Amino acid sequence: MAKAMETVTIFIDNQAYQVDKGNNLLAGVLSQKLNLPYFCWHPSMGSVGACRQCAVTQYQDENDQRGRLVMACTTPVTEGMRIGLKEPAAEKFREQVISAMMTNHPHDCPVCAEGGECHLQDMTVMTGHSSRSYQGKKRTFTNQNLGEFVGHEMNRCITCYRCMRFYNDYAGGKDFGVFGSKNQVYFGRQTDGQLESEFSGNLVEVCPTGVFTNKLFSAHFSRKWDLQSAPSICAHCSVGCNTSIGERYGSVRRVVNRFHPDINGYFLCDRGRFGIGFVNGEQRLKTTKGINQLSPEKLSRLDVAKTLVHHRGKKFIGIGSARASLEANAYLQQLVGSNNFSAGLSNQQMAMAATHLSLLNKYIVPSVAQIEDSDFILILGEDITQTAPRAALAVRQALRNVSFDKAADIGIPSWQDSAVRTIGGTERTPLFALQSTPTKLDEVSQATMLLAPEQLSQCIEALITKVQLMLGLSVSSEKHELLATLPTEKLRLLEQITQSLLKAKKPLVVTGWSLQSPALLKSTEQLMSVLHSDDFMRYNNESSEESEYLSCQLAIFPPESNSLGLMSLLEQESLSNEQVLTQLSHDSGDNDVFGVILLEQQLANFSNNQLQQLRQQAQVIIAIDHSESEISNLADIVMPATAISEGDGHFANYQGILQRYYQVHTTLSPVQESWRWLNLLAISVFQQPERVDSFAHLQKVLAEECKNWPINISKDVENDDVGIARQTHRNSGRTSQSANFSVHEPQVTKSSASVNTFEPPLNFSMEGKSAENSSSQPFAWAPGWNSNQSINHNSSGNNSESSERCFIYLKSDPLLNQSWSASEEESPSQPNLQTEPVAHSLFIRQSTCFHDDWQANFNAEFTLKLPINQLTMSTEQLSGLGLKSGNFVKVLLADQQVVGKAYVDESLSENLCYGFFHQLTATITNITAYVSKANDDEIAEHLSNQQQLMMQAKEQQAQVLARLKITDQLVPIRMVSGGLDEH
Amino acid sequence: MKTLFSMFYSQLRTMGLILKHTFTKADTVQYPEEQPYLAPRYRGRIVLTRDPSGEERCVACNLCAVACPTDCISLQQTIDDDGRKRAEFFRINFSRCILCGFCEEACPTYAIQLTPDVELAEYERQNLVYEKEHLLISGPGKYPDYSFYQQSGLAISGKEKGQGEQEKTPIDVKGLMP
Repeated sequence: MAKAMETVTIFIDNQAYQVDKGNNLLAGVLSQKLNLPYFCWHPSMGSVGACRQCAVTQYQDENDQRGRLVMACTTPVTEGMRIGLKEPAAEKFREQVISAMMTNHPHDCPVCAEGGECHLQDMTVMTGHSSRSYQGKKRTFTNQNLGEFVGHEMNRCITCYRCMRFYNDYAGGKDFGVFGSKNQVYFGRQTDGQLESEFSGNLVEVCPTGVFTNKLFSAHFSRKWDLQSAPSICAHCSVGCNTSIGERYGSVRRVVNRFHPDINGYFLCDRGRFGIGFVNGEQRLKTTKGINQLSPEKLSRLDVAKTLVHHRGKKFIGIGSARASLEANAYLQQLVGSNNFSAGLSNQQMAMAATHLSLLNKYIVPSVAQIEDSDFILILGEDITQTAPRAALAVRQALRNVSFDKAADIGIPSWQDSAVRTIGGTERTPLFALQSTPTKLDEVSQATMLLAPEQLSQCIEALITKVQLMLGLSVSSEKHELLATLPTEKLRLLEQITQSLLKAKKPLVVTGWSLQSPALLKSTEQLMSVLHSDDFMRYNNESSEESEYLSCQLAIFPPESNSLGLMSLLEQESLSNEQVLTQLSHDSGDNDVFGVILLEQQLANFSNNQLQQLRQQAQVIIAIDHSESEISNLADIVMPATAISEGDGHFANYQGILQRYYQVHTTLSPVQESWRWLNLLAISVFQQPERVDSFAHLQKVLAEECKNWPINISKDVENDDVGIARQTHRNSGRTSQSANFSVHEPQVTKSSASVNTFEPPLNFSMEGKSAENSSSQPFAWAPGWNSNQSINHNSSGNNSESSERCFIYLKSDPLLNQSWSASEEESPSQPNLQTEPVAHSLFIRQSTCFHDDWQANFNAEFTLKLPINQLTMSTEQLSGLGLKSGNFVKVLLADQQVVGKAYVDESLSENLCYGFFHQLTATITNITAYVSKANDDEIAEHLSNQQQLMMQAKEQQAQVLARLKITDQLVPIRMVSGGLDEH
Repeated sequence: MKTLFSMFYSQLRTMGLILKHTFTKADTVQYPEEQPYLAPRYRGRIVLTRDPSGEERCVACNLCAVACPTDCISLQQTIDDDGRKRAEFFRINFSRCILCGFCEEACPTYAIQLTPDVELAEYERQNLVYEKEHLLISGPGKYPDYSFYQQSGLAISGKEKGQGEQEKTPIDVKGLMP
């Protein structure tokens, strides 16, 4: 997609324009910011010519006065082509198409959640269709319940087929379709029920009208024009999708996609779109703990200082987190010193981090758009459909590259969607997966194999040998033997992989952290070094004549939104979890570690034992976090921090690109950004006199203090710049929303200045300029285009934007700390003497899109979507326990006992099982499970617990909504954004 | 001579006219003891009306708020158990309102209407902030027959899909008949 654009000259209403040669006429017209209505075309789904809305007049030559009607979306552009947008016949035609669509459109814009950002409204106005001539009765449909996220109102449908084309064709959904015929076409599921795809939320944005609406947004609704928005980065996985968060009356209302040509494009996953609810959740920390507040009105800096002064000069260990911004982590590291800084990772994870960083150093990581371009994909032990869904969507698109090539051979451009799909048939780009759990991509991959993590590394080794043999290299005899001992089906798979790999021009290897296996990353490193060896390059350059071979790319998906940012701060002497505990237990005189500072860290990688140890040995635990957790209960001092929408910062995505997220709205004291709390600590505990009072100031401080600070600070930024407005120009209720307290209007909150040109300042008002490019756009809007389709008027098509990119700083020398890798697994004690048979096997946790992320888990809607506890085992093992598929088993995993249903997978090997238990955190995987039959009491307890959980979630959902409706009317006169002492 | 005559005539005529006005009915009234007549379409205090069945007409669509040039209307939508959308709160700050009537023009359900009551004076500005309970009246106002939900495609309790005034019965998607 990021190829240099070839242009041709076309004449629109006798004016010459330069448009992209590779795209259709409609895209060309829109890229020139001209208005041409359309419905069924979508920039990333191509054209099908279904709606007949984009009719234009095409003229033979300058002398042609009559011309003929063509559909712009299915017409390629040619040099010197002449078209007219204003020809009366074409205008009339477009108006009549809308008029026909509107015959059955219900009269419900006022009660429609799409109203005000509706593509159909925009197009109706654009064509000039203003009065209804059809007097007959309207066709109606009944709606379906499509689950927790997407509402359905079928009467509004104009049958553009975009939903079908996105859900089924683009995202590979299976449970959605089109029913009926002629004037009775219905889009929905076979029966009511939750939409299964992880991308169902995109239906809301893809639908040009209000058939599909965001249920969570509708429940606490605001018009688009009333939302105060700011550019943000999704905080729920490492892909780093660009989002735009909207706020009204002090609560976050919704997340929508913000176009980024290289990362998320036009689509988001449901975890990112609907996971924002945690910001409004009941679990948010709103008061301090362990700090004595003098004035009943508000907490002051003096109160905090009085508490903290007792710890002055003491030695603290700081544990950063992959949820906190790069700035907050760096600030903490700078305060405690890198030898007292920990990333909250265990020894094993530190070893993984070290390998990960060295891989990043050596190989270029592809962007999501580049993943879409690859022609061979090998997935190693990561279920990206659940851990990095947006990347999995890109993998699905990559599978179509065979069709695109085939179509190109006979001259069909890639945007001719249905033609390309017809010629492509079922043929797909080769995708192979060596993994430990089945995934949703299995059905589209050429071959997959279920393996335990150890075998996985072995298998990769065998693959390396296989590739070396193919290249005609000498291989040691041991490796030959290893290959010979493999079963035939494995050999056949490896053969297949090698064959496709050698044919590929843009191969891609994908792996990740979810197996918690350092060995996997190590063997990936070996594989990559072979694929980048001179021999391999030579082979490929010889065999390919026409197109050039691109070296194999590697994408590794770490677990959290800022994992790489945090990892980039690690130094040789940084501490692992185990080292933190040993440091705390040492009683070595004056160099004694006094306490621990936890920065937005819930210590998920600590076992219960380790947590107890930490509590006993640390004199003081200071927790800075936004939500309640076990840690906030344990801690002596709790400082309430801001969540993603309430503060500024940078996250590094899986490629290491640092992306800025902006504050969307302000918070109520004493909730403030974690770096402000750290600054209070710096003054009182670490005796640093400097007071940091704005985000820009913090950035400057860090750029001075930290060597190799990755974010550019330019000296000559004009801060008298007007800035960009966070609110739309038609934001309403300004003089009334807080009038129940005082008729005097509140002062506008001051916004933080900017320190560089590519991150412009944003205003907390409707005053300011509109954004120049989509990367700094708080919301999508263009004159005449109120819907998200306005993006076609803001970004010029798929061209990469020229905005500056910051990458995390990667140290050239690899992290080699021997003490990290030397970890002894505490072997959990065998279950108590039991008379029943017990099966041992290696447990692999199935990743789940909605429950892997700690923050997103606070959404009641996600709990309602919780899959049942289940364990899938091999047939022999289950029958060895005397059980059948569907029976309940009890499983002992890392000292926790859980109950779930057992299922059978024929393709599993003897000592491997996989499953999901909602009680267990994401890092409990790749460990031994002791499985036995569950007795009736345990089953009953489990079932009642499960039921209770659902009831609680329902209750919680209602509670949150009720509370938000109350707080809507309590918009404070003045919201604090400058820390504790602002007046 | 002629000019002299016209000068006298002018004086007498003026005196005559003034004398005549002494016997005509005065245009001014003894406000507030006497109230002037204001037409029903006069733009005064704003009210929220109810539909013929006595339910609130306002569906909290926000169009009045966005049309308001002084931004003095704020509200929040809520969906009630009967499927109707209503305003959770609806506030007009009359100390800002200029009685332009744009909100009434914008209202798609005839809910917000301006009345001929122009007596909006308070000693305290704060008392000019009207909440929903102050705005809501019990009648339909100027449009006695209009009921929005009968026209819209939305189902509410008591009116299923296809039972609206301009609607056919819902299509059976799985039916085989053409």
